[in-house]
Amino acid sequence: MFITLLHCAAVSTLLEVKNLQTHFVTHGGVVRAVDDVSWDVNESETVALVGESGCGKSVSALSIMRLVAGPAGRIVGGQIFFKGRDLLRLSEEEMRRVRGREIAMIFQEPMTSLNPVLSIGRQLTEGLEIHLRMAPVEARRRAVELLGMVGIPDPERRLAQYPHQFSGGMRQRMMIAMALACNPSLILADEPTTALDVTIQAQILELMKDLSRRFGVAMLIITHNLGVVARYADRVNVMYAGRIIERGTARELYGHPRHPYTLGLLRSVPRLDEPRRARLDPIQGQPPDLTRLPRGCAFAPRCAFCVERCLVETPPLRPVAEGGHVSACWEAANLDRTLARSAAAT
Amino acid sequence: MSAAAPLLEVRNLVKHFRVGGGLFGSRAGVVRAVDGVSFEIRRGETLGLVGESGCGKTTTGRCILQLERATSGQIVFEGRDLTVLGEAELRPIRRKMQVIFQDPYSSLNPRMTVGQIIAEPLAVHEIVADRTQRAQRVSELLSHVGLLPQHGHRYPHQLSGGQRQRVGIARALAVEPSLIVCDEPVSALDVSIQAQIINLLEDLQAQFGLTYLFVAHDLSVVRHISDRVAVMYLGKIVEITDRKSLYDVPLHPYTKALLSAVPIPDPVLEAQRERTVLSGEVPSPLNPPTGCVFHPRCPIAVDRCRVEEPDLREIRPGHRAACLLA
Repeated sequence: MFITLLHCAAVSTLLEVKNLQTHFVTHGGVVRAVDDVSWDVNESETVALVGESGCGKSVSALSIMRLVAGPAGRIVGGQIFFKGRDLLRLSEEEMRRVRGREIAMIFQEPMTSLNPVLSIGRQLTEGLEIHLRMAPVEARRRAVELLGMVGIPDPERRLAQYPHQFSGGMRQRMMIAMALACNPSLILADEPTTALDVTIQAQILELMKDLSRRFGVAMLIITHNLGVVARYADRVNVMYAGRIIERGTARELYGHPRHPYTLGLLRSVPRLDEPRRARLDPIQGQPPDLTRLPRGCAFAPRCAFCVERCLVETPPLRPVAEGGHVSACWEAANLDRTLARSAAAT
Repeated sequence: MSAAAPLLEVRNLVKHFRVGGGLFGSRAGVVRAVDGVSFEIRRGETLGLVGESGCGKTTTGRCILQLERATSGQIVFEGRDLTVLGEAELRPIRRKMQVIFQDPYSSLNPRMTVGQIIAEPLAVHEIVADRTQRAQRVSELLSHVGLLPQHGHRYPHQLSGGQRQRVGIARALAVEPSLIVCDEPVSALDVSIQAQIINLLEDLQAQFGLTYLFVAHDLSVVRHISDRVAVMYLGKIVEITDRKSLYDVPLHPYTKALLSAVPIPDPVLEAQRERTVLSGEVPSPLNPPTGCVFHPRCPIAVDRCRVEEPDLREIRPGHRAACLLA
């Protein structure tokens, strides 16, 4: 008890995204990829951003790094506070000192995010020399240490090799080594294991968890798979059509989902720990077209709990339980009752 | 049903690819993509084929469909060995075997409308010669897969991923096949859409008496859809049995590791779960290990495993595994 109190008092916000809006101008109209979204990450915490393709989760991460591809894409509103400074107000020069040095990023596809014509060693030492002003010899020593840390055997020899000589899992280890190189306080990992095989996926996730604990790095894990983050995330944000529709501690969110979309995601996947069901219970309909979002709640056309109000008024995120559990659903309080009734009916 | 001959019987299938030895003087080698695989599929059942990338599961599917000619072994489909048949003899048989691909973006011709895509096999195999009847059949097929007649006039890029996969399924159904090879049919789709497609595949199987070879890496999906499951590793089947035995009492250490790597969407359960994380990675099929192919990563390997190659032997009734220690 005493320890938890102490722990709570020590928690401080590392990253705070406030009312972020990132838009893309397309032939079909303006896409509000991230639409007035607020969330935060505490020091040493692992936070997940979960959602399907096009929900705005990757654009959220790119916005933090200010890497949204212009001129089509633009951050049109909001603030991103990192250690108290608004990243959106920094000059390009100041931003360069944040990228890789204080906030690092791990991408989904390690093959396309590594430079094929630079040796592994060069790609590791470049950041060290630029950000930390290390001498080449010192940077090389650190590179060997980093490769060892992420479990790449024979690091001395590996430094001279090129990305194509590494397997998929090894490349992702290398990406993690690059991310850790300058001791950042936050790592943004965008689908870090999606391109990997199941057994390698487990290796990489365990490695990331272990390293983030050892060095006290906070992590934002972006994924489409709720299962992947259950074991690793402290808090989970679920996104749909550019907005966060539910947030809570992992325990709360998986145990008592309070948004029909989260509930649908959890119920539609077959689970190995449960008896096999005769039929899966999918979410109806198609993912939304972001240029033509309906009025009211974006999930309403697919929602089994939809009431009239949902078609006219967009629900805000409101508290639904203790511990910061919030949901953007007018019917959040009635989900349990409706579920119980439908279960009784069948 | 058990007395009837199986719809498909694969005997000792081997597929090797020659690599290297080309212009740039790289050393020639042989990739043993599929290395002695045998199994059968009974009419109306679903056999799940699981394994990690590079284990040969897709190549096995392609050999069955005669999209690759086997290096050796037999593929007996409806009583005939396909490996000895020529192109002309194969053609009417190809109609009986169809495929649904993983990526609904690259497996549909972007210059054809959905209607043309579905009608093409009907014309090629001269199933429906008359044009108006063909249009009729197309809208019938569209409704079987949960699309509307007007979708027939659209182009693939105007559809969502889930709808495109439905088009791929309609195209496969068009020629009334008896076997459909589903090669990772849901892994490119959004989570909320995957369950829709799986339910559709199950409905169609019941409605048309289809037989599926379901190739996938997702063990939870495979458990849901399969009657029997084969686990592949480095070109070989390491375990094969009915669904219940495989998931309740897995015998091969690789199957056990795969099952333990599947994440469960429940933080409370995950916190209590013991995980066997396999060390190392899948070796290259260019140069597979001696003895048991799994021994370099196996948590229980003994000296014998390095030299002796285990047979796929029956360990419990109807449950075969290739492990010396099982």
